[in-house]
Amino acid sequence: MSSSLLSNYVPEAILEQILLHLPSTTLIRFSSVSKSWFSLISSLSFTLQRSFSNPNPTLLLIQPTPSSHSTTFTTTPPPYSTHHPYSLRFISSLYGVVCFIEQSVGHDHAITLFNPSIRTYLRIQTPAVKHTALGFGFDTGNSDFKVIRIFNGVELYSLNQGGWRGIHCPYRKLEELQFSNTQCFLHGNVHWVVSPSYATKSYVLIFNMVQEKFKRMGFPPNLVFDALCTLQLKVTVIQGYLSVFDCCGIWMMREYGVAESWTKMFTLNLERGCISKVFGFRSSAKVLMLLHKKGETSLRSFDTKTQEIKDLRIKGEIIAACEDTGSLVLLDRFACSVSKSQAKRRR
Amino acid sequence: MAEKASPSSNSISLKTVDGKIFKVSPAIANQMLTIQPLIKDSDSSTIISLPDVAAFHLTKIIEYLEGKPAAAPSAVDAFEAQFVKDLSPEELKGLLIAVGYLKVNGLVDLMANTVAKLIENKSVEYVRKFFGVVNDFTPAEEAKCRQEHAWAFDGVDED
Repeated sequence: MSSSLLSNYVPEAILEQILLHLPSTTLIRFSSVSKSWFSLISSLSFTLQRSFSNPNPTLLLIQPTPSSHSTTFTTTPPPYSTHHPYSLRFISSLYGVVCFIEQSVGHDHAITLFNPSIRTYLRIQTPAVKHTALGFGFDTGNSDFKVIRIFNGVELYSLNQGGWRGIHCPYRKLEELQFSNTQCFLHGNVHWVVSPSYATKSYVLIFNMVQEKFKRMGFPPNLVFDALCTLQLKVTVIQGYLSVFDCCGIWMMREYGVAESWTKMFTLNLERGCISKVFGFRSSAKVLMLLHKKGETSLRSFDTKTQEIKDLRIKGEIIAACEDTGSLVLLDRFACSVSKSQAKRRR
Repeated sequence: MAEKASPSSNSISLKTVDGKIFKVSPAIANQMLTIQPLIKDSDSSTIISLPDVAAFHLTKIIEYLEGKPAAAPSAVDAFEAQFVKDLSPEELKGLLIAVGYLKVNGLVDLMANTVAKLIENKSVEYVRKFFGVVNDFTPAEEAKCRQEHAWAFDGVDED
């Protein structure tokens, strides 16, 4: 019989193409087929390929008390519950991984990386200090998630290495700068808007996750954010553009790295409300904002195409919003990965 | 090399692993990306041997390349559905490997998608058997894995 002459082996490249067609639940089940299937399915490159083949992901909201689902979003609880006075503060999300910090009055505690699609998380032990700023990003050179924390020093956490280490900073006394209370990751860099205390001009401070170096990126001379206002600025990414929300509008850096390309793109009529958080997405023309008004908080979306602000009428506290990419990153942080048993806690 | 009057009139001879020889037009053969470089240097007396491809597979591949409608996506969908309809899981797998080896335009994705549909609701054991994969987890590791993601193991097909 001729069939015995034939190869019975499906090459990995073809196998990967088959797996790209499968939903997350099936992939999680198949991650226990063998160790090589496990590494393929939990690899970041596989996750990235899957997210590129899904141009319209649904929205995922992380809420302590999940509200009912709708066609446009799903809700999920945080990885673990916290009790007063502890709360979870969103830092940012990337490739389906959401980064939080546990806070209590005056102190920050552990930093948590959470993949809501597969409900897997990693809790990074962090000394209890008050941070000046935090950032979450990805090192494409080493395929490594990294967290940066700025306090009276600078430290970087590498997921691959599983620990914190000190980083040299060429600027004196970063902790004396006023930092925007949000940050975002774009083109390999974490971005904050900072201003030296009182009256000097603000600029964008960036930290490159590959080179592990700080750099400054100025605003054009005609764009001056008040130093006192810096804390209120929100930095995010809208459709691939670095964007800054001030109290009444959105500025976008039309050409990355070119200071002169900062342009006020939209004026927001917030009806005397004030934005406390923004959630921008990789490819979406929409951006979400938590708006405080008359003692109430509501989640609003702003569509950069139609310039409409819409109240999404979602009840309850919202910790984070991200795109549901069906990411399988961090799957290897589970016990069945055998090799890596780093600091982790299960639900 | 001798000059050729009209390359398009030359048919290409392909020999399958079970010894059958197929004559196909260059237009068809050129859609098998793996043998493309060999076609350039071949004349009518050249026979290209194809490991990993049996006569059954090559017949199906030629059927696909000759029969695929040029336009209307709906017609392509109907043709492709018909093309894979009566294939057994074993035939699907063999054809997948042959198509993957030859890198046949359009057919790699169809076969990958068809196999994905076949295995989507199958058990881990079925998949190991189907792909001939050896389970290299220890029983303890595997049990742990299943326990962590128990919900992903619900509702799989019987076979």
